[in-house]
Formats: sequence, structure tokens, C-alpha cells
Amino acid sequence: MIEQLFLALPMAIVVIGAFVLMLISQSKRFNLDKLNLVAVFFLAISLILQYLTLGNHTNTFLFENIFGDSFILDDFATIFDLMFTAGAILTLLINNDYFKSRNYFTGEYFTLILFSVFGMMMLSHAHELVTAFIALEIASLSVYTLVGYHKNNKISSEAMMKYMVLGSMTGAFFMLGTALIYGAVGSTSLTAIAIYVFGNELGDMTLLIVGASFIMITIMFKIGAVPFHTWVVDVYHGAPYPITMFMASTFKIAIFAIALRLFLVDFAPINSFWTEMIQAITILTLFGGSWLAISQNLVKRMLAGSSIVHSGYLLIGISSVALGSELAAPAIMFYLIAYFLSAAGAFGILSFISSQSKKQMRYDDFKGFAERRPYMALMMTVFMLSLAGLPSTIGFLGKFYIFTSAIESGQILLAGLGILTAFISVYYYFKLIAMMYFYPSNTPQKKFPINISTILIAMMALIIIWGGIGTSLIPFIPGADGFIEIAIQSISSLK
Amino acid sequence: MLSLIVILPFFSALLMAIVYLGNTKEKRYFFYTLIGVGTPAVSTILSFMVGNTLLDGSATIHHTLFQWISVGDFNIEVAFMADRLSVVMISFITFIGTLIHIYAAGYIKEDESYGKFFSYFNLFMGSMLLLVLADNPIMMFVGWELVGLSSYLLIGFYHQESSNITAANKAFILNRVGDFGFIMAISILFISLEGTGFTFDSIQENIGMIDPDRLSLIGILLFVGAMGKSAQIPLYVWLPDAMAGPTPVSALIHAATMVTAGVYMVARYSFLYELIPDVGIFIATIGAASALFAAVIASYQSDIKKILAYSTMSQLGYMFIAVGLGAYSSGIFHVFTHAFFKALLFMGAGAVIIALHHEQNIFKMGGLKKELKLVYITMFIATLAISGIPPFAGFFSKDAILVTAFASEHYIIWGVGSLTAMLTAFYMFRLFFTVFHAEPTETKKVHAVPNSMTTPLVVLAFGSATAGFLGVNEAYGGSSWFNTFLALPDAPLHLSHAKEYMLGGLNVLLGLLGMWLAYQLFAKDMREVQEDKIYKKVIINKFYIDEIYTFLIVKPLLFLSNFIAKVMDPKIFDGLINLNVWTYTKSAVLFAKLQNGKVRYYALYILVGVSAMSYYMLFKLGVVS
Amino acid sequence: MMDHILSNIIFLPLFMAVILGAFGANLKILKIGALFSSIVTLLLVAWLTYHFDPHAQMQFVQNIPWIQKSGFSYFIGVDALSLVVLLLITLLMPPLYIYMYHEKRKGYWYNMMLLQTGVTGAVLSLDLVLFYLFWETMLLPIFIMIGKYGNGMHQYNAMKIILITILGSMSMLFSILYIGYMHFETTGVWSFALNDLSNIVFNAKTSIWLAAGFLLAFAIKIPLVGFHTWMAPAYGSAPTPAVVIMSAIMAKLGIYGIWRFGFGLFETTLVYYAPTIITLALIGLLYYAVRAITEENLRKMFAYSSGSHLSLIALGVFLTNEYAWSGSLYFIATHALASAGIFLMIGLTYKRFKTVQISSLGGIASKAPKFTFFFAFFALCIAGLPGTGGFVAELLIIIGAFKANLWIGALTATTMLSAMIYIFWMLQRTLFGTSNNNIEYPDLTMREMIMLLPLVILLLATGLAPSLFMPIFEPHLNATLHDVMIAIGGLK
Repeated sequence: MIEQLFLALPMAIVVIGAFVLMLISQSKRFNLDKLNLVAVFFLAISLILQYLTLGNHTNTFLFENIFGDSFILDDFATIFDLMFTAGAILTLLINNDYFKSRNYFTGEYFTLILFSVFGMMMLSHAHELVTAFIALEIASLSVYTLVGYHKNNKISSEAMMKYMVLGSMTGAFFMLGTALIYGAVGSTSLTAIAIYVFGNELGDMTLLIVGASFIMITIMFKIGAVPFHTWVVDVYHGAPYPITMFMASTFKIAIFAIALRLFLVDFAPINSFWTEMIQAITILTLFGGSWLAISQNLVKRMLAGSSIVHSGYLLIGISSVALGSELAAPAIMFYLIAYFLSAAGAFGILSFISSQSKKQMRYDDFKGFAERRPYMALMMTVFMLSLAGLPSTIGFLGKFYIFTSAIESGQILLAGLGILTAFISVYYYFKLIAMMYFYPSNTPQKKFPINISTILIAMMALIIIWGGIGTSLIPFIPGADGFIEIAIQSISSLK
Repeated sequence: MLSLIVILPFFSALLMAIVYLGNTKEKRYFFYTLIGVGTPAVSTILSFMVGNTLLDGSATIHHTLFQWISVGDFNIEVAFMADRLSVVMISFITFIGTLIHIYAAGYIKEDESYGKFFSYFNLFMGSMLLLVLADNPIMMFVGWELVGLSSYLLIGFYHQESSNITAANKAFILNRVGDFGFIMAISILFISLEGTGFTFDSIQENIGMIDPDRLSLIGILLFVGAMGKSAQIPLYVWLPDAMAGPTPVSALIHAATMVTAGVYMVARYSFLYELIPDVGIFIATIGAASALFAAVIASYQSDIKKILAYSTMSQLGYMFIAVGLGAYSSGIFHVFTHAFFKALLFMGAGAVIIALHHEQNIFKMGGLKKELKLVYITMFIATLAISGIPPFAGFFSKDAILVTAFASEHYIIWGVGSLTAMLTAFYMFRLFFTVFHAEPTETKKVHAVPNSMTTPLVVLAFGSATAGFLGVNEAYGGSSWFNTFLALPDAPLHLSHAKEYMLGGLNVLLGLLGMWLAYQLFAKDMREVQEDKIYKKVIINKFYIDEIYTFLIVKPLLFLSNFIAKVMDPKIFDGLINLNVWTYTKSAVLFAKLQNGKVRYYALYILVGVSAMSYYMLFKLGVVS
Repeated sequence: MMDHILSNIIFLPLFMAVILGAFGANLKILKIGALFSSIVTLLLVAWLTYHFDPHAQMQFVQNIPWIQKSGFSYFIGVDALSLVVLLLITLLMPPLYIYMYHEKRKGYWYNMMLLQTGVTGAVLSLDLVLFYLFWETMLLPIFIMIGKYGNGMHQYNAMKIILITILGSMSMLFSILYIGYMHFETTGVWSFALNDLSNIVFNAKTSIWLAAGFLLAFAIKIPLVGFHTWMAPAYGSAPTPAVVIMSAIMAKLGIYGIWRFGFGLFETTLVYYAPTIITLALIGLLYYAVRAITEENLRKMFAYSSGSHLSLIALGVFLTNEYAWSGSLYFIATHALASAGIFLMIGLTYKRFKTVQISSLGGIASKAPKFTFFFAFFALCIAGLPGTGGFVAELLIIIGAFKANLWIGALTATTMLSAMIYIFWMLQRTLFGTSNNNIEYPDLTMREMIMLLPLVILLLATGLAPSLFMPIFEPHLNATLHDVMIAIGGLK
């Protein structure tokens, strides 16, 4: 019982933290700094606890006697939890200045962040469809609110509206899917579903397949696959920078927690059913995303578009899984980590520098940035290179594994298109580098501000480099091998 | 010792170049003169010594400096070979070269880039000697190219005048066209003889391995090289322009060195050419054509140096008639004698030009025989020699060539040769009379000519008078010692002495005829040629060959280049790339248009997607098919 | 220091750059550091060359697992082929730094150091992924240098060059991935080491498009005609040191890549491609040369010139006979020196007259003899003047071409003509003619002479006594050629 509690603690602490923040956020004695610290404090504890539980799960299910098998405990989930909390912490710390620079941020903000983190963690642990849906909704609802947090800003609230409407619309598909599956299996627990799926022929599972496909629609929507992508650019654009960062780096990954669980384990035998469909969606996503990305002027929108492309790469991985590639699953996991780091970094810098200026950063606003902020520019370059997948960054390895998995599963065409879009992405990422370096700056060079945000960003840049070239020959620092290790470990725990 | 002959000039050239670049302002007249004139003098002595050892009957002398390159079977050494042919060449090259150096020391005394000039001059000598003494085709080619380069430097010596550089470029480029043939020839030669060594000796041994067709190809390509260097049709056009250089340069290029390289090369490859007589006839024909062509143009020129230039080309034509018809030693003999009187003529002309403050138009001269006594006499000897009047050098050599042409029953070539002989006498005496006899149009102050310029004239005059006796053939009571010494594989010719006398007499007559004509027309009062008749116009403008070349080669090249620059690169290659980029960006814009910010559209897209998926499902599940 | 010498040679400049950057060194220290690193690497390479055994194959090999999970290895080594290029890089760096003596912009120096590491690494790495890493790494400094310190429409051109070259490297990446996977599939272990991968037997069809992936990358780098549109703009707007590196080193790396990876992985397939590439090369040889005739911008003119000569080198490589191969490798070296020299001279011209347009130059010869001498010398080296290394190389390639086929030979020999036409016309308009008395014609300073003299001496040495240098790579080339011949069944 105690250890059960111990295992539940990571999630619990986040919720508690959320409630605590809600209570204290009204009092005048807590300004944003303090609230932020409190939030980070709770998240940090949760993070540590997760780290402790990593690898030594005594139970497979949380409070099995109470919840049944609706909450699974495995490294897969824990590693996702780690990413969520880390993402949240980064978001909070890096954007500390941003909050203070905007008057519309109030205490509830932190509560919402924590709630969404809680929702995501629940999602990663969910082993039962309705639970998963509730988790997804908890996370989504808080994110919806966060997106529209800037109430008197038209774009912001409009973005929230879009996201809300479309999100709930696709959410309905999830519910519908669940219902159909229930109809077929007579249970919504993944265990039961797995048994059913493994026990029947493909031909006899029409109902379940249809249900699963509906669930897939929701997932596709959340990861922004074409043609369900339309919300991404507008919402990323409308949301305040911290929220965009939070969504792009953290929330996007959360969806994969459940998606991978479903498609790697429970729906594994029927994956082949979707192959062509996923391939088609993949190609659409790759090109649609890069089309959106190159036609943007706002860096934020460009990154939004590019995030769609990255979903495309992940989809390549998924379709490779469907075709029975051994490497694919770890590849996806690794790519998620790589993308998480790079995107968090890029958006982090973006929101950090836009905390000074009120307007949205366009490409041109970066002219001469390298002279004003040489170190910042250097880190931005690192993130861009990583996103573009140039070697000596972790992004390169991510693409490397995705493409090899595609080749392994015989999808030469997809691999080729992937590389082609990677080439196109070089254009819109390098455009930013060019802007930063190629133009002189009229304002004199500022000193490199040493504060928590910059240190974190620098750390991430280093991690990205080290994750690209780091070798396990040097002890105590995991490097690339370490990340691969983590990916494999998490996948192998998925059984 | 042998290698010293070649290395010394190169070394002194380098030395002077460094000193000159070290400080270009300083004059260092003595230093440059010492090194510049001293080196060729030393080489002369050395060459004579080498020649002496050969005279004592010792066979070919070989001397290897070091292994130049060794790739597979391509083993080339920096090695020199002095056989009788090359020894004859180097002896008069160095000797006359030295005289020209001395002359030059006086000629460009005033020029501030005195040191540069002698550096170039020695470089030229060195390259020429390398060409002659080379022991394998590759080394010969290196010398061949360097001669072209140094001639470029010398012709463009007055580089402030852009037209001079144009002339220099012309010389170099046309030479390089020749080299193009040369390099192809030796490459094919090497490939055909791969593995059997690549010195002249080994080639001579294994030449039989090559089948005749390929051999003829090699022969022709080699001769293309000769065309370039020795200014034969169609690659001669650089020669007249080469007069842009200082007069000593013209003397050096035209008398002893550069232009004779082609003839030497054909003689050097005589073992090859004797196997392909047809090519030989082709060479002889080109030679005859060039001879006549040049003579005709020369008769209508009014620039003293241009006239001499064309006469050189014409004389070279004779030499090629000889070597083409297999009379290699006669060809070399003419090279030998020609070296003397042509050097003399150029130097004399130079003296006159200096005397008249750089006036080159013969019709603005006249009546100089008083002021320039010495020049007058020496020039007279030289003119007689070139016109083939016995007993001067030109007679014997030219006669030998014409006899060969007659004997080998190529009567057309022989006829052309004889006609040219007459023309030669005509235009040379035309020059001579106009410059020295005719009444001057305006009286002019005559500038004194320094001794350093006149002494060489005397020596050469002596040479031009007597050099012929070395090769008197038995018909004239000699033993044609020169030919026997050279010991080249000459084609035997059978001709009764009577015929030889007849031919000789005829030549003399033709010469005298030309002389008489010239005397009639120009000795009393000279009339500058007018472009009154169309044929004159054509001849005076050198048959518009330059213009034709410009039209046929230069214009198209420039057009092509511009075409690539204006069309190919931007339109075709870049065009393709830009087209792809354009289509991509356009489609991106279109796609981005779907992003119109209206939720109902977004919902619509999603529903489209959903319905597509549903259809897919139905299809997959076999509901629809 | 001497064990892991190769790693030291590769990473010393980068290390130096990081140290200097981390401590925010001032300009003076920065200059000294850069020069120091270049000289130390030069000394190291000298030591390496001294201890190099021409008859052995790979030497000073260092092969340690890098990212074991996916079979990347830090696998470097030097053989005659890479030694030549390595020598070039290290020889050229000090003169370049001397040239940059007055350069005040710090980024310039950092980029150069990064660039040196990039190119050196690319030359020495024997693991495909490692090679790819350096191959991309060396692009970034060039990108920045063109875009930031360039002239003309440099931002646009920088983007153009980076995109076109990365298109090439992406195609190469695809082939690398595929080959790596094939190795995994056949042996069950991941490896990208060249010697492992060369054991894979491909079926003809696969290897044809795998080779295409590599060839595209190299063809763009060289560039063969048709892949060349980035060249002239890039050379035109890049700062001089970048141009020198591009023409003297990076372009050569294209050839090197064909040699090392093309012939290393699928020699038989290259034979299949040979006719195409020989044709392209022959076209390029003349195409670029003709284009150069009317080019007004000196930098661009010599960009085309080096394109023409690199086509010649590529031709030699694909002729696969001993003369052509030795010629090509020798040409890589000598042309690198010559083009470095001429581009440095053009840089000095720009420093003096603030223009590289031929039409606005002229009459230098009568005012600045030293300058004229060096300029003309390097130009003539490009034209293949006998007595300089270029002549030897061209001669060998021509002979090789004739050995292959009479017509190829004849076309190859046109290089005798093609180069000289534009060169001599350029010389006439640039150096000679009447000089304008209103402008200064400063002659070469001592420092500039010191910078140029090594190149001159080397060019003369390579021309006068090739037998001193060729033995370094002859045995290796013959051995490789022998293997290739056996592989393609040209030798029973």
C-alpha cells in the first residue's frame, strides 16, 4: 500500500501543487516570481520521484484493487512523465521574464500548467480508453485556456476558439471510437482489447478496427497531421510564447504517449490495416508542413509549420512500425526526445528575446542578432541545425534512425521524401541563421545576461550537441548512446 | 659541360630576374651586360668545344642530369644529347646569339628595363638550346614551349603599347596551336611505343613497330607544331606582327633561333619522316606555298622590318621544301647560312632605324649610303647572299634545295622555288636600293650608330660571305662536307652535273633579273606603292588573312562565350533550378491559402480527411470495391 | 602528441577556436592563436609525411567506437591520397592567415579555424557518417563567410551555395543510410566503416543508384558542368580566403570523394558511369574555358578556369589508367597551389584597386613589377606553363587520355589551348597597357612576398623535379588501380 502511494506520488504531487497554487495565487504576498518558484518546486519534486521510480516498478498497475488496470506503471510512461515535467519546468523558468513583461499573467496560469502536466502524466499512464480520454481532456482543457490566456488580445482568443471547437469536435471521434470498441470487446481496458485483438482474425474485428480508426483521427488531429493540421499554425501563432513553447515541446509529445501505447502494443496485429493510409497521411504531412513553413514570415508560424513536418517524420516511424520494423519504435522514441529538446530550445529563445519586445518576431527582426547577442545567436543556430537535422546535433541522429527504420521496412520512397523535406527544411531554418549573421546591427552589442533562463537554454544547446556527438566512452555523461539507451529501455518496457 | 650550355643561360636569366625585381630603379648597366652578354659567350665556347670533340670523330655525346619523372613506363630524364645535327645547330645558335646580344647591349642601352630585357634574352637562349639539345621528345617539348613563352615576353617587351601585347599574344597563341599538334603527336608516339623507352635513340630503334597510318598521323601532327614555330601557312600570321618587339629580338627570333626550330624538329625526326614520304611531299608543298606567298607580300610592303619578316617566312619555305623532299641536310644547311645573312639584315635594318630615330618606312629613308657606309656594305653582302648570288652563302644552300626539288621530279615545287628566288632578289634589292641609293624625300639628321652595334655586322658579313663554302657540293668542286658531317638519312638524288650547272645558272639569272627590276624601279627615284589596283590592294593588305581569321575563329569564340554567359548559364541551367523552386514556392503559397483562418473551413478539411479515411476503411474492409 | 597525431591535426584548430572564443580573446591574441594553430598543424603534417610509408596503405589509423548503438566509429587514417590533400590544406593555411593580417572582424578568424577542422576531418575520416559530419561541418563556415563578409549579392549567393551543396550531401546521406542498413542486414551488426562496407556485394541495379547518390554530391562539389550554377556566384562574392579554400581544397574534395568512396565502395558501378562523366568532363573542360574568355570579373573568370581544370582532373580519374591517375592526383596538388596563388593575387588586386573588374584595371606592369611578376607567374601556372607542376600533370593526363582513346586524347589536349586564350587576353588587359597616372600602384610588400614565395617555390619544384614528389603516392595509386582493375575484370 505504501509503495503504491510512493508510485502514485509523482502524479499526486503535481495535482497537490496545482491546488496549492490555486489557493495562494489570490494572496498579494505571492508575486509571479514566488508563484513560479512554487510551481517549479512541486514539478521538481515530482521529477525527482519519477527519476527514482524509473526502472524499479514493483507493480504493473497502480492501485489495482481500486482502479483495476486503468493505470499502468512502466518505464515508458515514466520517461514520458520525465519529459512532461522537464518541459513544464523549462517553460516556467525560461519564461520567467516573459510573465513579468506581460501584465495579463496571473497566478492561475501556473495552476493550469500543472493541471495540464497532470493530465499528460495521466495520459501516459492510462491503460483504459475512458481514462485516456479524461486525461486527454484534462490536459487539453487547460491548454485551451492557456492558449486564450491573453483575454483582450483578439488573435489569442480567436486561436483559443478554433482550437476549442476543432479539438472538441475531434475529441468526439475519440469517444465514438471508444464506444465502438466497447461494443466489440465489451470492455475499454487495453488489456481486454489486447486479448481480443490477439485472439481474433483481422476479418472479424471490423467494429474494433473502425473504432480504432476513429481514435486515430483524434491522435492525428492532436499531432497536427495533414489534413487535420489547420489549427496548428493559427493556434501556435495566437498563443503567448510560453504556451506555444509548452504546446510544441511538451503537449505534442503527450499524444504520442498514448498513440505509441496503442499502436505498438494493443493494436499491433491490426497495424498493417492502416499502412497505406498512414503513408498517404505521412506524405501529405511532410509536404504540407514544409509548404506552410516556407511561406511564413513570422518565425513563430514557421516553427509551427515545421513542427507539422516533424510530426510527418514521426509518422514515417509509425508506418514503419506498422510494416514490422524492429528499429522503428526506439527511433520514434529517440526522435521525440530529440525534437523535445530542439523545439523547447528554439521556442525558449524565441520567447526569451520577445519578452523585451511587444511585437511578434519576424525573420527581419533577427537581422544583426548575431552582433547584438552573439551567444544567443550561436545557441539559436544550434537549435536550428538540430531541427534541420544537420550532423553533430541530436536532430541528425533522430532523422537518421527514422530514415533507417523506413529503409528497413522497405519504404524507400518515404525515406527519400523524408530526406527531400529535410533538405527543404534546411532552407527555412538556414534563412533564420542567415538573418542573424549576415546583416550588421545598428544597436551595440549587449552583454550576455547570465540568468536562469539563459543558463537553461545554454544547457539545452550543449545537450543537443552532446546528444549528437557525445560518446559513451566518456563516463558519467550519457551522450548520444545514453539517449538511445533510454529510448530502447522505454520501448522494451512496453509489454 | 653539355648540360652547362643549357643551364647557364637559364641560371643567368634567373639571377638577373631576381636582381632586377630586387630593385627595378637601379641601372646596373655593367652587371647586366657582363652577365647578359657573358653567358651566351661562354655557351658559345662550350658548344664549339663540344663540336670539336665530335669533329674528332667521337660519336653522340649523352649527358643525363636527373630523372625528371617516372610513372609506369613514362620514364623521362632531364638529359641532353649532342649528335652532329644538334651540335651544328647549337654552335651557330650560340655564336650568332652572342653577336645579337652584343648588338642588343648597344641597341637598348637607354631603356630603363635593361636588366629585364637581358633576363628575357637569356631565357630565350636557354629555351632554344634546351629544345635543340633535348634527348627525348618531352624535354624538346618543354624547350619548345619555353621558346614560345620567352618570345611572348620579348615581343611584348614594350608593354605600355597594348598593340604590342596583342602581337605577343598572337605569337604565343598561334605557337600554342602548333604545340597542340606537337603534344598530340608525341603522346600518340609514346602510347604506340609504350614500354620501349622514350628517348630519340630508342624511338629510332622501335619506330618500325608503328603501323604506317598512325605514323603519318604522327608526322602530320608534328608538322603542325613546326607550322606554328616556323611560321608556315596557315599559322604564319604572328610572324610579321612579331616585329613589335625590339629589333634585336626580331633578329634573334628570325635568324638563328625560334623559327628554325620547326625545320630542326623535322630533321630531328628524319628517321620518322623517311618512312612516310607522302607526308614529306605535303610538307614540301606547304613550304613552297609559304615561300611564294610570303615573297609576293614582301614585294609590296613598305615597313623595312615587315619586309624582312616575310622574307624569313619565304626562306623557311625553302627549308621545308628541302626537309619535306628528304634533303634534310640541305634544309639544315640553308638554316645555317640563312642564320648569318638574316641576322645581318635585321641588325643592319636596326642600325638604320636607330640612325633615323625609329623610322621604319623604307620610303621615308633613301640615300643613306654616304652616312652609313659600314651598314651599307654589310647590308649589300647580306642582300647578295639572300638573293642567291654566288659565291655568297645563300647561293649554295638555296641551289642545293632547288636541285633536290628538280631531281626528285617535283617540278611544280621546283618552279615555285625558282620563281620565289627571283622575287626574293627583287624585293630585297627593292629594299636595298630604296634605303641606300634612291634620293631621300626629305633631308634628315642621321643619328650615330655605336660600335657595339656595328662590329657584329662586320663579323656576320664575313659569315654571310663565306659560310656557303662549308657545303659546296662536288658539282662545284666541293665535297659537300656539311652534309656528310651531318650524316642525316637524306634521300639520294641522281642528277648529272650538267643539269646541276644549268639549274645553278638559272638561279643566278633569275636573281640578277630580280635585281635589275628592282634597280629599274627603285634605284633612281622611289615611288611608294599605291593601292590603286585591286590586286595591289589585296596584296598590300596581306590577302586579308588576319581579317579572315578574326571572322572565322575569334568572332565565333566570343559569340559562343557570350552565348553561354547570357543564355546557357542563366536561362538553361539556373533556369531549371529556378523553375523547380518557383513551382515549389507557388504550390506552397497555394497551400498556405487554405490556411484562411476560418474555423468552418478547418472543420471542413477535417471532415474531408475523415471521410477519406472512412472510405479507405470501407474499401479495406471490402464493403466497397 | 604523436600518437593520435591525426586527431591532433584535425582538432587543434577547432580546439584553439573554442579556447579563444571561450575566453573572448582580443584580436591580437586571436591572430596569433590562429597562425600558431596553423603552423603547428603544418609541423605535425611534416612529421607525418616524414614518417609516412609510401608502400603501406592506411597508416596512423585510429579506430575507436563512437556511437556504438548505431555502429558509428571514430575511424580515421591517412594514405597517400589523403596525405596529398592534407599537405595542401596545412600548407595553405599559414599564407591565408598572413593574407588576413589586417582583418579586424573576429568571426573571420574563427570561421577559418573551424573551416580547417572541417576540411581536414573530411579528408581523414574513413567512417561514412564521420565523413558526412565533417562534409557538412565545413559548409557552415563557408556559408557564414560568404554571407557575412562577402560582396555582391552575398546573402543570396550564400543561400544558393548552401542549398545546392546540401542537396548533394542529402542525396549522399541517403546512400550512406542505405549502405549502412545493407551491412546491418547482411552481417547483423551496424557499421559505417569504409573497410566493412566495401565488402558488401550489391546487385547491379541497387549499386547504380547508390553510386548516383554519392556522385551527385561530388559532382556538385567539383562542379561538373550542369551542376555548376552555384560556382561563379559563390566565387564571385566570397572573400578571398574562402575562395582559396573553395577552389584549392573543397573542390578537390569532390574528386577525393570519388576516389575514396566511389572507387572504395563500388568501382564496377563507376565504370558504368565512366562514359557519362568523361563526356561531362570533356564538355566542362571547354565549356568553362570558353565561358571564361568574356568574363569581366577576375574572381569569376578563375572560378570558371578552376571548373575547367577540375573537369580535367575528374576526367583523369575516370580514365582509370596509371598516367591519368598520377596526373590527376598531381594536378590536384599543383592546381591547388596555383589557384591559391592566383586568388590571393586577385585578393591583393582588390585590396589595391578596390575592383576585380578587368575593364577597370590595366597598366600595372609599368608601375609594380613585383606584383606583375607574381600575378603573371600564377596565371601562367594555371595555363600550364612548362617548368611548373601544372604542366607535368596536364601532360600525364593527356597521355592517359590518349592511352584510353585517340579522340578523348585529342579533346583532352585542347586544354593546351583553352586555358591560355582567356589567360593571355586577361593578362594583356589587366597588367599591361598604359598606366593611369592619377592612381597609386603600390608594389608587393615584404609580407605579401613572404606569403606568396612558398607557393612559387613549390610550383617550380613540382614542375622541375616531379620525381621528388611522385614517389609519395605512386605505389599507392598503382596498388589501388590494380585492385580496381581486378574488380572490374580489366585484368585477368
